[in-house]
This record gives sequence, structure tokens and C-alpha cells, in this order.
Amino acid sequence: MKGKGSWIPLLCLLSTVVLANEYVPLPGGPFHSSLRFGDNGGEVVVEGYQLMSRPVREAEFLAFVQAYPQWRRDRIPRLFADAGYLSHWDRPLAPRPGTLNFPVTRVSWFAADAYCRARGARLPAWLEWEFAAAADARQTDARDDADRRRRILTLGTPGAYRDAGESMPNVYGVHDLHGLVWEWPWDHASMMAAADSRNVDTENPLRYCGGSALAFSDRRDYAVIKRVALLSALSARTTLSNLGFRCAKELP
Amino acid sequence: MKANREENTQSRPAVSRPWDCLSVLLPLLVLTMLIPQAVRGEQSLPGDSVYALSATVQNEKGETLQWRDLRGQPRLVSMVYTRCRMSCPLIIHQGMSVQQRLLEEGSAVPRLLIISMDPDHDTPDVLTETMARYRLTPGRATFLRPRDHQERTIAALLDIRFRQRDDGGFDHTNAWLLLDADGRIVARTEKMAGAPDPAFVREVEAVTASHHSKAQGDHR
Repeated sequence: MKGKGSWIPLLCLLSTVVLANEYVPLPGGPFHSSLRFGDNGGEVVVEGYQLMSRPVREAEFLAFVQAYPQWRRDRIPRLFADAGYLSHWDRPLAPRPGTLNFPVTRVSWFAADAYCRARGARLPAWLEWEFAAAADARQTDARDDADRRRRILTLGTPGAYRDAGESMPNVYGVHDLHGLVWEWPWDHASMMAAADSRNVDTENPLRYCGGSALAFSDRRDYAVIKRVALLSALSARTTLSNLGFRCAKELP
Repeated sequence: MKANREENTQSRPAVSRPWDCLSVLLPLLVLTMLIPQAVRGEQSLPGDSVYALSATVQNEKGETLQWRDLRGQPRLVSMVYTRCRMSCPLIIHQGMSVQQRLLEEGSAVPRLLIISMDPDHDTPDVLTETMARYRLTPGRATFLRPRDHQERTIAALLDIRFRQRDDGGFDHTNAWLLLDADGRIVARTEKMAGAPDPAFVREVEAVTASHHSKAQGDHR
């Protein structure tokens, strides 16, 4: 009895040590978004927040699926994820060996949202992601750097074939905002311009693609535009082999 | 320090044993309470039911309920915000028109489920006031505000998109959805002006008719 009881807390302790994904504080402040929200031309004020220093990894997502089996790939309701959900795992509770520290991919927005909620956190708003992703290792807003622009555009998403957190962190201590995977923002469904269907004749393709092109305040930021065009066209059920997520929280 | 350590070693056997038991028994107890419910729910709920979402909502009376509690009746669902002056009145009136059309044709009338995308502002008082403004009775409509920031999750299930503007208003999809009693999305209309979409009304009639014949069959 005693032996059985004692390994449970030990296991908990061990798993938190191994799986800890630390949050780093970001101060927020006035910010020029590459997306135009209404008439402000992209000028917004981002509130301070905390962000995971790296994307959620396969091992962390495995722990979540073990604790909340309704999110296993063989139990998830169809409405919450398409057929690709965690389809790269060997079995419903078995990611491929050697990939436990890779960022988790092939997760739907619903699953990402549920993961962060279960951790007492939330998905970051697009602006929070964009604010963090504007920084490089030296400055909080490196977006005027033409070399960097070209670099992050050609980096793309190589297919998630490395551990999360290996890249150099930005000034806030956040890793892998560029060059590893794309990430679900909380409000992905609200980024395109033509969400308002007062124009009833609008056809879907225009509403998604053409619609979002109209909403950019800075067309030079093509790496960001590419991301928004992709994310805003996705349904919350969609899973992709290069799309993961990280969580955010309010400042303590 | 030394005294402390002695105290610890002395008290450990007495304290650790019940604690060890609890660490095993408590989760077990909780599990035995939870598992049958979860299993039963999964078995009976279709995989494409919106009620598979675990979410908390509050109605216009201030009552807190689980999203899945809405299961059991076909419903007409839409999302609005009450400060809206343009499209939301159109949406609500269109829902009422669908109900009116069904009444005229002698069909059963499903309740309108009007969900706020602006839960911070749309308190139960505001929702009650809005309901009165449209002369909607609880038999005809329920107003809900999602809790815990789940308005986006519910909207995603319904494929309704919205974005808050600087002025506090929202750009949003205008739509009515027909849910069957188990929460499957059966039909959708984005026609908000003029007479209700006839194809949508037919779908509502079909779903309510099949629901009532099934319900009668159960009673027999």
C-alpha cells in the first residue's frame, strides 16, 4: 500500500520537472500591427502578458491527452478535429520515439484551446503573438530589418524536425516564433476583413483570401501576411503538419 | 533545526500512512464517480454534436447552466451582441420571422437560442431587457452569455466568425443555424433580409416533425 501510494506524487513531481514549459513576461505597449483593425491603421496598444517560451511539445501534449482522454485521436468528436489529428503518432498514446521534444503539430484549434484551458492558461491573441514575434535577439521591434525579413520568409516552417527551444531566444526570452512551426492564435477566425456579412453576396474564396489582403497595414511584412492568410482561412477543426501552438496568461 | 528533524522523523509513520492511502483512494473515488457519466455521455452523443463541448453559459435569468444541458429539443441558434444597431436586430427579427412562418403553417416552433459574442457587456440584466424589447417570451427564446471566454469556442463550433472593433462593436457573420435535439447542425441560412429562406424553413419543419413523432413514440 505504502509503496503504491508514494510513486504517484513522485511521478507528478518528475513530470512537472521534465515537462515544465516556462512562461516569460512581455511588457506590452504601443504597437504597430501589420494587420489593420478598423480605422486605426494598425496602431494598437497591447496589454502586458505572459507567453510560453517555446511551443508546446509532443511530450506535453501526450500528458494532456493522457489526463483528458476525450482528446485522444481515437475518441475526439469529429466536430473538434479533422482526420489528421495526431495522425503522425504511432498509437493514440504513443508519439514517435525520439520526437518528444519536437513541437506538437497536427492539433486543431479546439484541441489547442482545450490544452491551454486545462493548464489554467489560454491561447494568445494574434496581437500578442505578433508583438512577441516582432522582436529579435537584440531589439523589441526588428521588423524594419530587411535582412531579417528575407530570412524569416525563407525559413518558413521546415517541418518541425527539431526540438522546440533550440533556437536563439528573442529579447523577451521567447524561442521559435519563426522558423519552426506556425501557431494557432485564439482569435484566428477574426483576422480577415470581411467577417461582416452585411455584404450577403460575398463568396467564400473572396471572404477568406481577397478579404484578408485588404486588411494589412504593412504589406512589406510578407512573412506575417503569409501566416495570417493561412490562419484566417482555416477552420477550427483543421490540423496541419506544420501548425502547433503555445499558451499565454495574464501577468501575475 | 535539529529538533525539527527529530519531530519529522517521529511523526512520519503516523502521518504518512493515511496520506498514502488517500493519494490512491481519492483519485479512485473521483474516477468511479466520473467514469460512468463520461462513458454514458460519449455513447449517446453523436460525434458531430455541438454539445460535446464542455462549456458554461448563463441565461437571461442569471441561471448558470452547462452548454450540454441545452440538448433535448431542436433549436434555432445565432450569435449577436446587444449594443449592435444594424445587423443584430435584423438577425433577431429574421429568427422571429422563421418562427412566425412555422406558426402560420401550423408547425411546431423551436426556441431561438440567441448567444452573445459580447459576454462582458451582455449581462443577464441587459439580456432580459433586450428580450423585452423584442417582446420575446421564455417559451420563444433564450438569451445566453458564454462564461470563461468560451464565446469563441462556441462560435467556432457554429462557424460564426466575429471580430471586435475599436469602437467596442463587432464585425460578425450573420447566420441562423438549425440544431436537431442531439445538437447536430442540420441547416444554416445567412439570408437576413426579407422573407425567410424557404429551404431553411422546410428543414426546420422536417426536424421538428421528426422530433415530435419520435417523442410521441417514446411516450407510447
